[in-house]
Formats: sequence, C-alpha cells, structure tokens
Amino acid sequence: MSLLRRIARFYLEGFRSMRLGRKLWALIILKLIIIFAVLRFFFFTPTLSGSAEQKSNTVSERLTAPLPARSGDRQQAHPGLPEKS
Amino acid sequence: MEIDTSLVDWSRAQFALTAMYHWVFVPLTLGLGVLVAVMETLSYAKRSEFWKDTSRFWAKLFGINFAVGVATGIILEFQFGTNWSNYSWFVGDIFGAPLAIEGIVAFFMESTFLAVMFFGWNKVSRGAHLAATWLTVIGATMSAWWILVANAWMQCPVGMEFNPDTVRNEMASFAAVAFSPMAVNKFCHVVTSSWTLGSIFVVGISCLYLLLRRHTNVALASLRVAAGFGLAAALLTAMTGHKSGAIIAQLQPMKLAAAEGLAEGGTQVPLVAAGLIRPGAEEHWAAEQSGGEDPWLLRLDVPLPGALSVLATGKADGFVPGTRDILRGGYRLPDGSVALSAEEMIARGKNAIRALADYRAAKKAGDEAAMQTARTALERDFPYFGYGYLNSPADLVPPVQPTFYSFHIMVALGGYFILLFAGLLALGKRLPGLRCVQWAALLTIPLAWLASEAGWVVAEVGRQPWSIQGLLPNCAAVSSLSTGNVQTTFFLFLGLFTILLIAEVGIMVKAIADGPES
Repeated sequence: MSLLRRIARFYLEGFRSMRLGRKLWALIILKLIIIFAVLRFFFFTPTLSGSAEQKSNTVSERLTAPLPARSGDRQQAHPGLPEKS
Repeated sequence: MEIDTSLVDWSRAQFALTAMYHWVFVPLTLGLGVLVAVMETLSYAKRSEFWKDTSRFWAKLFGINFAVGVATGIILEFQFGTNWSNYSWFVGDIFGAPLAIEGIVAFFMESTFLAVMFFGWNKVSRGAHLAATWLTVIGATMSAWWILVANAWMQCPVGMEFNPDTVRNEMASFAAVAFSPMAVNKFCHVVTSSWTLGSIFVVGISCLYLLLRRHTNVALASLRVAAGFGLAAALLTAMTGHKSGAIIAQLQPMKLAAAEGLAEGGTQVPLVAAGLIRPGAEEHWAAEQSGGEDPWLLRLDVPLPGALSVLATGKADGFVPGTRDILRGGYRLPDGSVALSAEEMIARGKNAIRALADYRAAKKAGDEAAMQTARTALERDFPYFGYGYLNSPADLVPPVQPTFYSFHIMVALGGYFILLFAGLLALGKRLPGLRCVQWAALLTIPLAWLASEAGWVVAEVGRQPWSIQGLLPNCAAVSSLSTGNVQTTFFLFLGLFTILLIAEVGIMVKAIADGPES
C-alpha cells in the first residue's frame, strides 16, 4: 500500500511541478480529442462491417468481381474476371 | 502539371502526407533519445553535475518532440480501416500482430519510463534514473522494430498462408515475419539513420550556441559526443544501406532499377552518381523496344566499373536487370530459375483470382471436388495473385523520377554527413573559431530530415503499384469511397499536421533560446 502511495505521490508531485510540461500535456490532450473524438467518429468509420463471415464475403466479392471503373484512375481497378485458361 | 484526381491516388497521397509528417517526429525521438542516454551515462560514470545538466537540457528537447509527435501515427491505422479496407482484411493478423505488440508492449514501456525520466530527477537514485532513460530509448526503438516488421512484410510477404475461406493471410511463422532479412535490415538502416539525424540535430544546435557565443561549454561537450556518435551512426547507415541494396536487388529488382534509372540491364553495370532526367521521359522505362530517345539530360557515373553489379550481386560481372528486362523476363534469377515475363505473371494472377472466385462459388454450392480443384489452382498461382489486377505490364514500373532523385539525394546526403562528422572531429579545438563550419553544421539540420524522408520515398514510391508486393496492388486494396471524402480528410490532415509542426518548432525554438541553464 505504501509503495502504491509513493508511486501516486511521485506522479502527483511530478505533474504539479511541471512548467513546460503543462503546455505539452495540453497539446497532447487536445490532439487526442481531435484524433479520437473528431477524426475517428466523423471521418474514419471503418468501411467493412458485420461479422467476420460477412466481411470475408464482402472482400471476396470486391476482389473477384469487376470493380466499377473510376474516372481518372491510373489503374482502372481490375479489368474483370479473367477467362479460364 | 496535370493532377490525377483518382480515388487511389488521393488515398495514396493522404497516407503519404500522414506518414511523412509522422516521420518528422519519429527519427528525432530515436536519435536524440540515444544521445540523451549516452550523456546521462557519462554523468553517472563521472559523477558529473555538468553532464547531468547537459543531458537534462537535451532530454527537455526530446520530451517536446515526443509530446508533439506522440499519437500522430494512430491516424495511419484509421486510414487502413477506412481508405484501405480490402487491404486491411486481406493482410489479416500478419499486420495486426506486430502493431498490437507495438501498442501494448513497446509504447507502454516507453511511456511508463518516460514519466520516471522526466519526474524522477532528484527523486529516484541516479542509477534508477539512468535505467529509466535507457528503457525509454529501448521502448521507442522496440516500437520502431514492430512497425518496420509490418512494413517489411508488405515489401516482402513471408511466413503466411492464404486462407480462401476467410480471404485473409494467416501467419504460419512468426519468426519468418519478425526476422525476415528485409525486416532486420530495414530496422538496422532506419534506426542507424535516425541516430545520424539525432546527432546532426545536436551538432547543429551546439553550433548555433557557438555562433551566438552562449552556453559554449555545453555546446562543445555535446558536439564532441554527437559528432563521434554521429560518425559511427552514419557509417553504420552506409553499411546497412549497402546491404539494403543487395536485398532489394533480389526481392524488389524493379525498385533498384527505378532508383538507378536502369531501363536495359546487363553485367558490369555502372552506378549513377548523379543525373538529370528529361521531363516526360517516364515511358522510356516501360517501352517494349530497346532504344528510343535518350531520357538523360545529364548523367554522371561512378568511375568504378560495374559498381551497381557489385552492389546488387557482389560481383562486377553480375547481371542486374533493368525495368525492361523485368517486364520481358527470361533472365536468370539469383535462385537459378528463369524470370517470368510480366505478361505471364499477369496471366497467372488472373488465374489465381479466377480460382478464388471458383473456390468461393464451389463452397457456396457445397461442391467439395470443385473446391479442391480450385484450391490447388489458387495455391499454384497465389504468388502472382496481385498481378491479375494490372491492366498492362507497364503498370509494374514505378514512377522512376521521384524514386531516382530521392535515392540519389539520400545517398549524397549520407556521404556528406560522414564528411561533416569526420571534419568536426578532426577540427577539434579549432572549431570555436570557424564560424563557416558552425554555419554549415547548423544549416545541415533540415538536410537530415530531407535525407530521412527521401529514404522513405525510395522505399514506398519505388515499390509501386503494390500495397503488398506481388499480392495486392493499390487499385485492389482501396475501399469504395467517394474521392471527395478522401480529399476532405487530406486537407484536414494537412491543416492539423501543419499546426502541430508549427507548435513543435515554436516550443522547440523557445526551449533552445532559453538554453541549458534555464
């Protein structure tokens, strides 16, 4: 218990005595809020959803079926299922 | 200049932007961390308050860089799930395992001891503090190891088996993934080059103090340590770079050919020392016929016969394929087999894709015999799976100009860094009076980042069109998103990272201006 208290005091005193560190912590917290609360929820939702089986079916369909050609693509996705050879 | 507005290219641009900004912070953490630990070791060994204060000053700059840079790499992982979902699923746990280990073990180890490193001055024993500093540095280096293992696997996929039931690659040998020659050498090259960058940072800032005639004792002492360590690091970087060239010659010959602008290979191939490529000459490297208009406006070779052959094969008469040789195939590979032509590999790739489709259809129909037939065909042609998505052999040639220029900038700067460190050590006590040398060292600081980023351009642009070498090109790895979404987040990141960079530079400049005594 006394060890835990000493560790807690070590960290508390460390945080209290910070000068430049306060500014850096503010920057870290702001950055984490932007990354996890804004970017993650509003801009970076995973595009694959469902169970593992559903995900494998989706990817399988994407990789084996002709993908729609996109205007301007340098590589026009794959050109459709090849003939058996 | 025409800007390609495709989804694939915007997704690539966004990933490149994020990775390159992230890489502004990482090498300084790796390099400066070791120098702080070395200086604190001197303080411990000599019971020196001077070295303690000196290491504490550099530790403050290390802390600023760490705080601003931490978590910027997480955005790359978000992009995998959103922009590259086919890729994320396809790589399975191969990519996930090293990243998870990096997050759980290395990052937490680094963060825990970082607190002792910064809060523990005068609170824990000198030995305990020194141990915390070294463990922070080891933690940061271990983080780099796992990230580079993941990257090396994309460059050279080994130690896995493809499961057509899950459409994922599954790890068959952790050791093969973690200790592949590509991973080991990449780690050594990246870490030693980061030590070089950290040393240049310390040397440059020390020279700034000499120019300003402030903190000269700290500056001269730091300079001696950083120049000595930097020279060793820069020589190690050159050695690992040489080894990297030999590995790439075997595993990614197209990258080496692009880095050297080599269209037609041969034996006793010279190494290009410097060159200027004619704008618009990209088609030269993918042309079917030999000859055509000379793509070089200027070209200077290293005056050593067969230098590229020696680099690639260890022998002056070793055969080095050019981009056109690789497309044509038919030459002897290092393992004794004959290289397939690009057209043959594309045909085999299409067979593998067809076999996967057949397997999935047979499984749905419950046809065991058809499943087995398709599986056999898939296993036979799976090494060429990704080639089936390419439209033509020319798609296999990466952008030659950025690869060539980045490679030569990196190598030239690497040579300059060796000379700089050696020169600083040779000048010794005469250095305080040589302001031109001090200016040169100070102005070298941005060049260290230029060389480091150029190295990544060679590694990543030089392996196009692949997300995973031979198995998945970018066009198949990308998610089905609207280009507008990716463009929006691209500019969002550009703004966010620019603000972070301004914050880093601002806080760092203030700390440097305050100097060691504050």
